[in-house]
Amino acid sequence: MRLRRKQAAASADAEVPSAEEPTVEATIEPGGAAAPDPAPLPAADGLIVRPTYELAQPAREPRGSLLSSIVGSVVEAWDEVRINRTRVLLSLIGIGVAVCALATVVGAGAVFGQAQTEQYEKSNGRPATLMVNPPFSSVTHEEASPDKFVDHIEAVIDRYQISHATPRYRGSATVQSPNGTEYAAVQGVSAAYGVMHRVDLGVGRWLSEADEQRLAPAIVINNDYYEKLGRPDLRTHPTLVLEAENTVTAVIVGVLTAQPYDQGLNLMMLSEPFQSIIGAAGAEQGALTYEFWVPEEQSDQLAALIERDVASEFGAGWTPNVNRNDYLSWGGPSPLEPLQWVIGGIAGLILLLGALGLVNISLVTVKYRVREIGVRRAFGATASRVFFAVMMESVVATVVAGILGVALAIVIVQNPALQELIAPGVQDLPPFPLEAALIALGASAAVGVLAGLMPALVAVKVKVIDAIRY
Amino acid sequence: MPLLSLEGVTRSVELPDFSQLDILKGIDLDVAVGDHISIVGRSGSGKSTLLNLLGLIDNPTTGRILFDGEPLEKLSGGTRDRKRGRDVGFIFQQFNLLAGRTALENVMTPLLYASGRQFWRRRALAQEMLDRVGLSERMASMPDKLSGGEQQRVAIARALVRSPRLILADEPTGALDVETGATVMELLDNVAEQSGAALITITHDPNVAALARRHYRLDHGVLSPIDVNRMLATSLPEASL
Repeated sequence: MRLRRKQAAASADAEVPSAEEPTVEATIEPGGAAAPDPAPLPAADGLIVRPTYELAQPAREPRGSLLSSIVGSVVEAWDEVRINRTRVLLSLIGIGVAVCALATVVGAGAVFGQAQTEQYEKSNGRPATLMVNPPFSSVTHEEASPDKFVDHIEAVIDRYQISHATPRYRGSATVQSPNGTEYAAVQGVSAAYGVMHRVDLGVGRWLSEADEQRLAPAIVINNDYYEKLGRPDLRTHPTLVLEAENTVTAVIVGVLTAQPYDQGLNLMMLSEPFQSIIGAAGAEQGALTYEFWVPEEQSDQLAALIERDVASEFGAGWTPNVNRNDYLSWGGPSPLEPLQWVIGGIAGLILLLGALGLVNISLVTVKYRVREIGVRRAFGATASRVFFAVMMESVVATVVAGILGVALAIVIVQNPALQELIAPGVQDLPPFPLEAALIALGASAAVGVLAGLMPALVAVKVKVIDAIRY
Repeated sequence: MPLLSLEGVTRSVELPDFSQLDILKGIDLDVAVGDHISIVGRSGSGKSTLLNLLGLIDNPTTGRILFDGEPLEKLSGGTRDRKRGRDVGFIFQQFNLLAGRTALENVMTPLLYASGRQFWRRRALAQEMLDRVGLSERMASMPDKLSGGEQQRVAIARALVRSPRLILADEPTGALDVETGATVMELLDNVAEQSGAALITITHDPNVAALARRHYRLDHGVLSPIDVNRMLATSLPEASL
């Protein structure tokens, strides 16, 4: 490297600039002879000042300034958050709590929604559940005979390889108990009913296909009656004597979980023993329905096929009766929509309050930072850079608060005690919903942008020299 | 070609009664690389307004300012800001170090607005600069733990860390005692001379002004050359360094 320094002698007493002013011109020649190390300049109060020549080079803005601008803004923002952590922490408690509340209500809403969904599915089956009733004769005004209907439906099940199907017989029987004779509502179903209707057992087990072989039919009873029986240990094979068309001793193998308005005696058994025990004497009019749990996207097509088959099997004058009754078939808005709106409204209100607090604090803070902003402007910060940096401070802070808020919300929502409180008996507890985390983080970033907007506009209007001399 | 030229620059403001106040009147000044200029003037003489113009912060009412021969009025605000960051270093009377940041972080601050090598090596460059002003042992110190002289040396390091070609020192010794002020000025003069940057010192102290090679007085908005020796001879003893 060779350094060439040209300096015209300046007139010591010159009062106006001469035509030839002192100049410094440095050139670098790769591979050239190394210049001697510049000697230390006269010390100022013992300071060693090492000469340098590279400063005289007119600098050029290198490429990649966009990347360095973005990184620089984030570094600036993070420094500001770090340095003023106490203030930031205090201002962000509101946002953190708001985001936590938002994520919690959305997350808890998902759990509650799942409980609601399961409740609908317990009552009406999972989507898509096709209900097939015996065809109705427009001539005789009677339903088809159950035997013919069952034979036809069994053929349909085989034809379309329907994996989950169950008959639903409804009838009644009387039960001899220590309190005397009691009325019992009886349902005859298949083992698949347990999956199709999310049967939730508090004690014991659900019916299985093997139970068809039992001489003493297996039954599942409701919790209320089980309590009345004194909660006998199912391992002792407690029995009930059922009287209808026939009298039989049935063995209790399972107990349903407690449900609201669960009173009296409700029991379920497989359809085979139902037909032999309850028979025509106990069966209700129109008490037979078949249910198929089929893929939702195929349900309409399958329903049409079944209707066509019924029509061809029973002939003219018979009206097939196939329909969906699961909660997704009800039409109109989702039954969970009102709940979601309420939860979203509460969460939005909470976040709005947090944002207002942050805007307030940010505006006050910028007023205190006028001098600092002026100094930054003097050292080359553009208005857009100051705007972006002040905005980023807000965004960085709120996103950090958002992450902490979401983490806390996950801990809260996944707490078993809370889950039991908001969704007792829910079977498929959903994981913390990703959309809740994303919504909360997105909301926190949006709040950061909104809360940072006004302070950033104030910061941009700072007059540099006035700010420095402020 | 001069680094900075002011050609017939005026600056006026409108007062609340809609009358016009002429702060600067017909300023002509050429500043070359390596120049050292002092401008003295009383309070209200227009020094701050001139500083705004020299520092590419404000626009003249009439006349024009050329930087590297390029008229500033042609530059957009952002371009001018970037040019200021790259080519102009400010040293303030009250130091204006950023509170809550160490000496090193203060010196790194201008490099946040740089790009390329200067940006990515900002820590090393700031350390090097603090070393040059003799503060290598105080890099981690907060401004409120530094003496006045040390704070001004940090401010000098901060002003020079981006290798500006023009250094504007606004009353650089105004907040320092006489002895410390002399030391700081000597340092500033040396560093500016080594770097080849032009140094413009705005001061009301004739002794500080005397360190420059060209001397001007700003009086009622008019900039005129002065004989600093005559001014020193007439200045009060307590004003000397």
